[in-house]
Amino acid sequence: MNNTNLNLILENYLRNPFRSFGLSLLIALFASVLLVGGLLSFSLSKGLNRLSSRLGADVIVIPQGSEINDQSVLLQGDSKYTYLPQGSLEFIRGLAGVEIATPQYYLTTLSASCCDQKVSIIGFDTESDFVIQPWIREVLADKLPKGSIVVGSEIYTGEKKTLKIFDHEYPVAAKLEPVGNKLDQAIFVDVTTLASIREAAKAKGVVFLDNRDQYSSILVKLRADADFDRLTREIHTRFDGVQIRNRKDLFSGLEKSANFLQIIVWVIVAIFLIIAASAIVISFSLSTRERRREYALLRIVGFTRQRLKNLVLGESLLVSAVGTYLGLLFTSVAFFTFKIWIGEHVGIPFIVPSPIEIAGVYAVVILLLHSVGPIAVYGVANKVSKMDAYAALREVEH
Amino acid sequence: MILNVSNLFKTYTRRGEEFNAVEDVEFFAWSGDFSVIFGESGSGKSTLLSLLSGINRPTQGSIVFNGADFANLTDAEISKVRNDKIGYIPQESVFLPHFTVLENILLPRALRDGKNIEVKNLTDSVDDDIVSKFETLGIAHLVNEMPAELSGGELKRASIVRALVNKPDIVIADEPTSNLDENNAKIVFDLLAELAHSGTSVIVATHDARGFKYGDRIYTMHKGRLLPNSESDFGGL
Repeated sequence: MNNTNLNLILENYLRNPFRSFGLSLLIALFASVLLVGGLLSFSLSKGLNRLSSRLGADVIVIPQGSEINDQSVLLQGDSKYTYLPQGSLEFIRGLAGVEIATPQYYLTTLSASCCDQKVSIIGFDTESDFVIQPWIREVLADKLPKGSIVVGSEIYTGEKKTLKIFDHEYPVAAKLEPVGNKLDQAIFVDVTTLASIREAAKAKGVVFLDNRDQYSSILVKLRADADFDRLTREIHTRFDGVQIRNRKDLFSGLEKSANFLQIIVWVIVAIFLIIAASAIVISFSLSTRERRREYALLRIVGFTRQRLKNLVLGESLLVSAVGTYLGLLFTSVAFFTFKIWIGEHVGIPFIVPSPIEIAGVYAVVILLLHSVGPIAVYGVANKVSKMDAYAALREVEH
Repeated sequence: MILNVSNLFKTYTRRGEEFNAVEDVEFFAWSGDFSVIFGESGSGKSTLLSLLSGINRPTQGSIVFNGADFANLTDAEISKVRNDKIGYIPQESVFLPHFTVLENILLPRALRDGKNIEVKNLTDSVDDDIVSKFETLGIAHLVNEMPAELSGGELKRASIVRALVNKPDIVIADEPTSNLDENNAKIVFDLLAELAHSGTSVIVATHDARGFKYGDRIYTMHKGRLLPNSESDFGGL
């Protein structure tokens, strides 16, 4: 394509702003939908995969009446101020089919110096824990130093790498990789440090139950031959006021929600694709009819059929490109500004992809959107290139 | 000889029946010739000129321009000839509506040189010869206007300059004086005669009786057939 063609494409775009920009805005809207769809879908998949890889427990046992938060399934329940009955951990450890059982302790939702939001403190037993510590080991090769804490990815620790809880400063040994749920705003401590936090709270006038035998939840890993139904029956027979949930049920619900959300997202993307492509085809078909004299003139002054075709394709490419970059720009600003809000409101694990993955999503969106216009108008461009210039002139003359 | 046309036919179908818009035309033109073709509306003049300019393909026959048979040229080759060697002035003035008159006029040259279409200034854009044609035709003051702001006669004169901007070997003009008043019609014929005098071959299809005065060769077209004036029973008007 020589300068004249490129210049004609650009000037036609700039000098016919209403039509050109209108179509570009439509493409921009589609770019937004596609980018959000792509990032959302990617983030959800990543969140689910990350959560799935974190799921060490097959079963979670929590007090009756407490909620199980799907966002944190099998890593964390939400026991508020209720606790499991005494002796439940030992009883569960003794059941057939149980490989490991570990307790967790929660001091839920308190304000700390780190965050505007409330944070959760999750205490784990270093001896038996098989859920939190493997996760910590990904970022901390050594053992968790005494008195140190580990924080979720969204907790700000400052340059000192400490966190003040109940006026007591705790060194932060590591910050965890994001998992895309409220655990990103949690603090993880061993039982000794948890006791120290309870003391600090007590000094500030906040009293938590201080009993190591009262657990907020028990996470259980089963042997391959374990019978979940039997295990449930035995626990219920021995203790009232507990609920038992298994990984499969909870996680499949989560997966269903994520899949459903992804289907909705892609259906919306498909609808927008059809609307955008149709609008481009209709607009270019109509304008081609209006511009038959122009095309005839271009043939008269020496445009080849191929060059005419390139002109139409080039104009559609420019419309698509301007729309694409406009859409990407505005959507990127909005998406990355509100990513935390989005993550909190989608209701399922959500992790913003890495820069390379984001670049990949952008590349796909750019490639796809740049081709929407030319593919949509290819038939129109072919028709223009085969147009009888003399007949087009005569239509006007007579 | 610059143009050699023989056994030329252009057949169309109208209401299921074929008819020859151009029938068995033999025609020759040399450099410096001023050929004038008269004929009633619908006699086939415009179709013949469209074939000679290469924007329309004949059903049968040959058009040899500067030794090259159009039938043997690719679309790219004919397009190049049309751009560089043929100045075609269509009956209806056609312009790119979003470009100024000057940009429209310089379009063939921009295409030939592979340059941008956007131009700001007349004297910086074209040589003196073309500037003088703007002045001769009285449109020098209109070059920065948009086509929609010009009258039919002004557009016609602008389309004449556009056909001349690449200094073609042959100028093919279809009713170049339609929409023009007496004075401007004379100016246009004088300009075309001057072109012929300087060696350009000029072919004009017209209803304007002035053509008799200017033409070296006079033809009449009737029902698709082209007849030298001596053989014509129609007198051209």
